[in-house]
Amino acid sequence: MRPTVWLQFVKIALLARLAYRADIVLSVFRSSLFLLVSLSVWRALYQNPGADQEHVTYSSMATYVAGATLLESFLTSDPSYFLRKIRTGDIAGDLLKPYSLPFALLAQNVGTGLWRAATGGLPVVLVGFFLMSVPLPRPADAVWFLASAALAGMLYFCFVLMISLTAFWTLEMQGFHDLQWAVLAFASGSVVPLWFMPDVLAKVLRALPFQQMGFVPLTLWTGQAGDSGPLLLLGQVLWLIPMVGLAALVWRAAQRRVVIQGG
Amino acid sequence: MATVEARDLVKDFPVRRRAPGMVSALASLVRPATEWKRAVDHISFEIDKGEAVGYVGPNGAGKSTTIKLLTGLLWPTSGEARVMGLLSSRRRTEIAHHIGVVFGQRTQLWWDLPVADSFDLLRDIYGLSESAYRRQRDHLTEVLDLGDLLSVPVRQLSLGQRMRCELAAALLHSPSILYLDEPTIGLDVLAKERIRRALARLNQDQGVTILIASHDLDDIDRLCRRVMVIDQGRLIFDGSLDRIKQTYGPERTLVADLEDDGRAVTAPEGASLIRKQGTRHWFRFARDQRTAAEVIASLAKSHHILDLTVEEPDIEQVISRIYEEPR
Repeated sequence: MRPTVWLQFVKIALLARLAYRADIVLSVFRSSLFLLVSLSVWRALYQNPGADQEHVTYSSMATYVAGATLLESFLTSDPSYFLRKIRTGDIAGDLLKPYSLPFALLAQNVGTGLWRAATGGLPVVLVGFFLMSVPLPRPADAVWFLASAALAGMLYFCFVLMISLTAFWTLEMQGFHDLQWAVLAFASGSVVPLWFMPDVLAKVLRALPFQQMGFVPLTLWTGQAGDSGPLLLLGQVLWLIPMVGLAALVWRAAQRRVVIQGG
Repeated sequence: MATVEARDLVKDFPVRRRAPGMVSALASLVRPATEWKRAVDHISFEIDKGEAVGYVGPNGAGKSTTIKLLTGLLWPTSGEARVMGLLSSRRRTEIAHHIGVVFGQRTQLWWDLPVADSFDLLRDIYGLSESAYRRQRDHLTEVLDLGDLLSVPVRQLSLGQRMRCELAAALLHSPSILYLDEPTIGLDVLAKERIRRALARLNQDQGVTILIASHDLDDIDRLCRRVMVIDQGRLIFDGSLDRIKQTYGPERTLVADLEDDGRAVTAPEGASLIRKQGTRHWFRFARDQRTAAEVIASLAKSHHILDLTVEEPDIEQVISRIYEEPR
């Protein structure tokens, strides 16, 4: 896909969000409230003796929680996208245009994600800093985080694409919706960091790709990664390669199904 | 070379079936019984550049399936479809530059955004130069009478306004072929008329080849000289609109207002009185046996005619007669 087409898709997704300016205030309020609740839970936990595991201090943890809000605002792919398109038949219009639908979709997700991060995630980080004394990351850590979040975004996109493409076979989505939420909230470590998980569970989750979409970028955000930034990014890239390949295979199979069975 | 070509097209769809009841419901979970249903049954035709062809048939006859096969959205079970010589099933992306498609009741515009934003996106998708894009957009704005609709978010448009914008969106890249699937469905009479007028202009002035599938036979009557009729996946008629009327609608009707002089009205030679209402009388006669002039002259001998018209068979009646014919 030509870069101009790509940018045009990013832009149009941004413009489409702009039509709903009113939810900015609401979503900042909702996320700030969520941040406040999470912080009080963590503060209560930290008051127990011996809770200070792996030398992660409460203030690092607070930074982690605020970072999780920012990361989540950026990971916005909507798995019911294809289901809607198939049910309404609009998918035909997309397939009859000279562009690759997954790439167009990725571009739109970038647009939506940037918009949400700028109007939802970032303000909450600032609210946390000014009103709830949540420390900001060091600038260098923030840069590592940005790179890692971009990779996380691509991984997440592949993941959601594969899940939503199953709509071509099942025409049903709710189960997958729940699965996606569970994966994002729990297995990625964005609600409870892998530091605090029981050893066995942490080992399992470290072996799975999901932590790459939560725990890894957030470790960088809090500065807990030390100087292993490049290594963590490399790990993400290594996961990205098979995920992209797999997503491409599923996409081909879904297209095949459309041309044979009519979707 | 024909612009659009279908050769012996066949399309089968799998249909899952199961008997009612719990046991068979569970059985079908394990091993779903699949039957194949033939939606398009050995259809062949050619459409030349600049033609406007009507594609007529009842619901589920295979109209949309045929269009999807032609665009490459579906692959045929057997046979082949070609657009400008390119095999549809293999060259979909390439073909996309040559065709515009409008499916009624579906949208390719961005719901939340002004129409102009969707158009800008299409400009980049098709890689149009700014000047070519502007020229075509302004031309379509004029033909489809879009006026200041372009700055309105799509969700605020009426259905008729939206359909005109959809048509423009499908034509921005100046395709040489336009496929329309029920383009006037759900529109009021005025909105339908505007769409038909625009389509007729595009076909005549710009030489856009049009294949229009529609229930609304007025669409076809206005636009197309050639009609293809499909029923249960088979092409049962392919020819001119005139021929279809002559073959399947051989009878014309003379409607005459006659002065009431107290005498009983007798039908002129070769015609029969089929309906009467006040002074108005309907006489039916076969077009290959009598000319309208002969019937009128014969009627004028015995009655004083106040007013008259000759009605051609309505295409709707003609088509329903085709379906009734045993095959």
